[in-house]
Amino acid sequence: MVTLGVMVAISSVVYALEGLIPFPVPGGKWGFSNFLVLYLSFFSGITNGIILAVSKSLLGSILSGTILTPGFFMGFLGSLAAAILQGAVAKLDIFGLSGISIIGMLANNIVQFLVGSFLIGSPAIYTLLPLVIFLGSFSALANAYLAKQTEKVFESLEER
Amino acid sequence: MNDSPNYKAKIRHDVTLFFLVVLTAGITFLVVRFGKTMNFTDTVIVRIDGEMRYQFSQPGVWEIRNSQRQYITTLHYDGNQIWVTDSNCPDRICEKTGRVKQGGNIICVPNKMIIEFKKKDRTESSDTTDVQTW
Repeated sequence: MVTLGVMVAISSVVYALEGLIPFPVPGGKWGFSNFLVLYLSFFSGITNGIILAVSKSLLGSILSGTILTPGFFMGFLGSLAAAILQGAVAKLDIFGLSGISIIGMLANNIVQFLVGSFLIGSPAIYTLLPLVIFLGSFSALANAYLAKQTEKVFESLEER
Repeated sequence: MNDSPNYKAKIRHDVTLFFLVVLTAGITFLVVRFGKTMNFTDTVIVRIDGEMRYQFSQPGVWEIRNSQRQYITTLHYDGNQIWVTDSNCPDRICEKTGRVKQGGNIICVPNKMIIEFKKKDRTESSDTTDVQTW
């Protein structure tokens, strides 16, 4: 429970701060706050992944002042979809951490664009989806690396 | 995790998925970005909440307002590119979008607004008609 609380705090702060990192698509984020959702979904199961996805979206958007805005709903539902799909696909034992991360990125972005197109009542937003997925593939690899390093940290802590 | 019997297979699946996604997204982006400008006219349209509210064919600067006459943004059109300055929404994503040419668009999700170049009607585009049967 304490570990989960620390993860919520870390990912919420990353969620709020990563908006300051330039991203080629206006309004987009690199999604580095998702590495702990990936870690929990992969190593700990869907439930903890969902708890973290919901908590960090709520807390992160409160910290960044975007709670209940359209952008919040896009990010919240995208992160939730990623946590569920990552946890489900991890159980199939077909992909490694990087593959699960890419699947999570796809779920996150596709759901965000579905919500966005629903909100604006037009499919025009989909023109940005290929670029977001292209860039997101690289941040998905970064998230897989960070999740792997997190696992190593917890392993070394357990050994002590 | 490295001791897993299908570890190498998982790595192979990961690498395949990565290149599949990157190539598909990259090629689609290039097609969307550079391949469709010929399908657009010089007319700029502004849709708010799914309905077309403005249509401009000449260069100029316009204040964009929603159906309640509430100010949203200021649209600039130089005959080639569109961009917006000033906005009533805190995200200001439409301003950050910068200058957009034919095929691109400026989207404001909070205001449910899309600014884009009007597509050619099928009848306007001669290259879409291969054969006339009458």
